[in-house]
Amino acid sequence: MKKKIKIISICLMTLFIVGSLNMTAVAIDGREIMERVDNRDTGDSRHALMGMDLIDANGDVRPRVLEVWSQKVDFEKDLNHNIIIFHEPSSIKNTRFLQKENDGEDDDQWIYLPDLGRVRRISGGQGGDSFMGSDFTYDDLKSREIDDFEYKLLKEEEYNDYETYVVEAIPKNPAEEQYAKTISWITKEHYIPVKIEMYDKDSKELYKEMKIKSDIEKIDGIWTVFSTVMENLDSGHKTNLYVKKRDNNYLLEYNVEINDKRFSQQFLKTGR
Amino acid sequence: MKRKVFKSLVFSMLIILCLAIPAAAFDGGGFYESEVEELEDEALDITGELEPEFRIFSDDGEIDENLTGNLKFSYPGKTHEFKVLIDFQPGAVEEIEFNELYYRYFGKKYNFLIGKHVTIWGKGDKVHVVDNLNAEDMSDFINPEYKDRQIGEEMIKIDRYFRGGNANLEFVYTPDFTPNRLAEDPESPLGNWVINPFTAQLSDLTLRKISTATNQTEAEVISQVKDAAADEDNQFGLRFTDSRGGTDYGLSYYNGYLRTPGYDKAALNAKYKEFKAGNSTFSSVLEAADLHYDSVDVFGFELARVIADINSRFELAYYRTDDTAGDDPTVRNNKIAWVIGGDRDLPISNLNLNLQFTGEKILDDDQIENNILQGSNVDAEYDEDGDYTTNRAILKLEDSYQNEKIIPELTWIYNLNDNDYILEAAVDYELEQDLILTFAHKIFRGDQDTTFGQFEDNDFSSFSLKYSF
Repeated sequence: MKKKIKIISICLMTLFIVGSLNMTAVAIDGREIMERVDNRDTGDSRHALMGMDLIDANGDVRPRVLEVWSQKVDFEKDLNHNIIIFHEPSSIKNTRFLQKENDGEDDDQWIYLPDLGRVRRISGGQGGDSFMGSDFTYDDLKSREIDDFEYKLLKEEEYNDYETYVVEAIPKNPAEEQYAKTISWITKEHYIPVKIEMYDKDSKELYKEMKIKSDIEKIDGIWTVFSTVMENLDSGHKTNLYVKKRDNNYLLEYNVEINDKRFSQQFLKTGR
Repeated sequence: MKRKVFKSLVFSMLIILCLAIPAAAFDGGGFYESEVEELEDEALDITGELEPEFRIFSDDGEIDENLTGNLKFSYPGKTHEFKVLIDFQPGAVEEIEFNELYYRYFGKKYNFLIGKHVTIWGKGDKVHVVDNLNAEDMSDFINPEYKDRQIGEEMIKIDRYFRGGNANLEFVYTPDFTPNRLAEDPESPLGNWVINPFTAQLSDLTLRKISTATNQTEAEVISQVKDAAADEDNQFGLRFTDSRGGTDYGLSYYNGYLRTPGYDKAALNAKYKEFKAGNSTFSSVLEAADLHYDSVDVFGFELARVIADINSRFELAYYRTDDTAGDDPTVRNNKIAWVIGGDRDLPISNLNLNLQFTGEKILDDDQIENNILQGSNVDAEYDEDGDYTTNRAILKLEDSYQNEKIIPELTWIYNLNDNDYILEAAVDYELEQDLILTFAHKIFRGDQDTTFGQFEDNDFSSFSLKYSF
């Protein structure tokens, strides 16, 4: 009798453990996955030299070179200051863009245009605008407010040799967002989106797709993607955004000390 | 006396603005600039633009070839910058000109600049009322962009930064004063843009008549009028700008001169009668007219803020001349001037709508009306319609296609008082990197004695190719 109870107990324990494992495996939901994406370590500061190639449907390329500095200024609210300087081509050289993220209101944004000879404040509420003629919008380049969307884990599958979660995000307030919905393939290992489908707000059809084009590697202890392509499926135009290399080293650094003056009107006007 | 006052002001400002810490180079660095520094041969940055343009005038089918461009040499060091900007435009009053030539030092909290430079003040979008330090080159009327029309002025400029670089106090002193430059030679490639300097005063005082009467070319007549105005010197400007709580704002002060000359209308009328009768020379007419640049203090305020997704802009300026009472017919009255407007993206295609209003109100206009001599009003600012407030609307609609490869633009500049306007439709097409083809058609409408109506015969279509390197 005792032996029978023991066996039953062991079986029950085993079932419980296995059941617990299964519950853990299915317990993770879309929201939690996106929270892990949001909470992923991206460094307190970032500095990179990047290339941005605008490629039309005929394969003609318009290359740009830009340098980005980004610094977290509020850890609790995850607010950043960002500055982008365009170095090439000549027609937009020394164009500088400064963004200071705000909580609960539109970001402060300014652009310095050498042809204008002065700084111009621009609306942070027009995040759906194309970033310098690319297929990325200003909002595409920013992290989203996690609470602004409903999430659903659609499936798990392998994509490009990565085990991924496939998560659908639908905005709670569609009028304020640029897409009807997005579907993201998030790696289980790194919690990095390796593919994102963007659905048009009006037609509800798939119209833009973002895919990573490089391996995911660690730089300064932080998982990093070095090349991303955003494609407009309607027009066939693509934008390749990538970190530049010098002597086989990526020109990207995390957690470096960036002087606050880099994000000031003085630097925006003078570049120094 | 003026020079002594300005010299002491200069020294005072230098002391105030340079009191801070000894300058230190801005720390940190960029990947791109360090890469350039490694390539020592390329430390000198040479850039420029070349833009050949063909204009076909609707009135007579005449085709004008035009070539503009600039060449910029700069040594863009971290703490030192040396820049030379050479502009060229055949047919302009100065066909080849060093428009900028300066040295600038970048300190931690201040910058120091000496040399020929273009400084633009104000939050307006290519239209300003607080931007008074540089003259405008109107050789090609207002066909070039605002910044391209600015004439470099030799200056000392000191910028002092506060609040981590977000607030800025600027001090500018220029030893010279340059008046606005108008097209001079009707026979030159830009001859279609010659303005008769006497249009507003005497309807029969045309350039052609004076040219015939004085046995000079029209270009020589214009040059003679220009030389008759007394030279002035010394300009001083001070501006504070800051950005707080979503608002960029600024306060400014300018001491210098109005760029359009004032004159003695009564004496001009009297002497012109003698000249018409053959009893006087044109030189004595100009001498009697007493062409001069009125000294002025300008107090300015500017503001920019995003309101309901509209990039809103505002400038307000109070111009104070020596004629504060408003009763001196030879000196312009005080006035206030403004720019108000903004731009917003529309939810159609990639449309952006940009609308601004600029205008001015001449103060003490009742005094202007009272300046009567021998039954005629002799005030240089007298308006027959009693209209001393002017308003101009500037509307721009811009769209973009194929990832900003094609940019169509419609611009309408309309003077509300005189109902004259310019309407321009243009399309930019990026043929390849740094090479832009532009097609445009521009029309001028209004009465002959209005700002834009005087060029009613100058409607033109153009195509140009702009290469940047």
